Amino acid sequence: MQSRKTDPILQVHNLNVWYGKDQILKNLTFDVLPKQVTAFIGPSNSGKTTLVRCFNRLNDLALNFKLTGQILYKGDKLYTPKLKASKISRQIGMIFQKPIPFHKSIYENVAYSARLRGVKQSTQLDTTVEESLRKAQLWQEVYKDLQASPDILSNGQQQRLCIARALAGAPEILIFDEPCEQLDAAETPKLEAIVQSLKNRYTLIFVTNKRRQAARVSDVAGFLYDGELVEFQQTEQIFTNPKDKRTENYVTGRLG
Amino acid sequence: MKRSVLIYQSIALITLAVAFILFWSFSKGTPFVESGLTFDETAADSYSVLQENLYRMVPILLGSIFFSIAIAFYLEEWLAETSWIYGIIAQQITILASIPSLLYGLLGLYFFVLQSEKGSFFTHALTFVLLVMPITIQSTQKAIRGVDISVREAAFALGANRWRVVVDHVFPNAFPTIVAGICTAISRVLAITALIIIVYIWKEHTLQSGDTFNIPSSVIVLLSFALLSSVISSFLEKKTNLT
Repeated sequence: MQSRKTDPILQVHNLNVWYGKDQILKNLTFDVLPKQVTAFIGPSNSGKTTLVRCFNRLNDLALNFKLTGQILYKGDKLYTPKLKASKISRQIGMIFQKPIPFHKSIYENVAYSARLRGVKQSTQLDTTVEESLRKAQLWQEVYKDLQASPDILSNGQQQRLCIARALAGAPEILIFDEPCEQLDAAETPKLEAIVQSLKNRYTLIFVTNKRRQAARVSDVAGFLYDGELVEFQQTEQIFTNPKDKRTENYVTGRLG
Repeated sequence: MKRSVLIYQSIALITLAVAFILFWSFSKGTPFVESGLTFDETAADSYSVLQENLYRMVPILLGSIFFSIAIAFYLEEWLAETSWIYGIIAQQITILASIPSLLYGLLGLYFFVLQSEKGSFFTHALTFVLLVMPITIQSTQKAIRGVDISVREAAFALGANRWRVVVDHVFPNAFPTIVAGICTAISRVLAITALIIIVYIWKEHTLQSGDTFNIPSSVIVLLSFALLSSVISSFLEKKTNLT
């Protein structure tokens, strides 16, 4: 299913994270391989969101944030003073729990991230916007009026617009942070289908607190509990034959 | 939809009110302008000096509004809240902004009317800057803080740097609130200008040579009370935040 030969795109070594005096993540070590879906599951407050926010350096915005250990992106250190956070987040996109369209037209929303990476020609922008909207499976629903405000879209459509916007920035990794939390039941399978279709071109990291969703979408899964990475291995293994008692309790619904 | 209806309603109401005042004043022979007071020649002369002094304040006002917005953005976006300098500056601004505009008005009165010969351009400008800047900085800060954190995060996550986030997202989102703050500041200025003009007219007509005015000392007393009260309130605020 996955080639063992490929180098990991993200390497995490002894990662510890504090907010003030609270230790959120405790000594995490794992590798994320490219072009597959890596899911992080666990009860709320287990540190899933904090973990993925370390990858695109969004935690830098938080007060009293402290990190020890090392994260390597394609072999280079992610946390060095020389490297600007904006450069990293251009390559590592993120979809949030709540869809956050900007107060611009649908077209401008998607074009925004393309412009950020330096696309200026209008024909090139047009193709990028169309491609991204097609990849996010929203094109058919919005192509008639791209100048419309995203306010008229449903919650699920807005979330797909955010996916298109992230894709227009041409990232290597795409992080989904509980993207279905605020969507209705009909939208969730659409989003999961998008995740499956993006898998062969991007590295996807998927945070969810829905066990079954993780089992459906991911190739590799990590179980976080109270800031510890209890188990990290093939999704099939984690759901059918967990090594740790806590993982077993969680996947069977006795914990969390 | 509903919001725009409200805006149109308020515009209509204001237009009606202004039309009524204009109609009323013209029909009565402009009571606001010609209040039955007449100046002798020297008084009229010094009145035009006052007018000129006030007009010269317009660029100062615009400049200080622009500068205040820039300061507010610098404070909120680049000087982190944890920085000790931020704390000191924020406290000074709060104290200055919480002083009632009447006290600044008395200050302006002193420089514009009572000391009109001695008062320089600098002292006039200082009065107006003191009147406008703290309140504009504070309202702009509030407007910036009112921008949803998720919008910032979304922009940062797309790879925008701090400058782009401010220009593309924070400023457009905060703009209506910033304008509202500027309006408040300008209304303060207008009220104080009115006060200065009225007291000026009153002074020209009732004050005999040899009368003394003790406004400066009373201003100092009032200012120190205002300072004291804002220091106490900020102290209490800190204490309640701790517990």
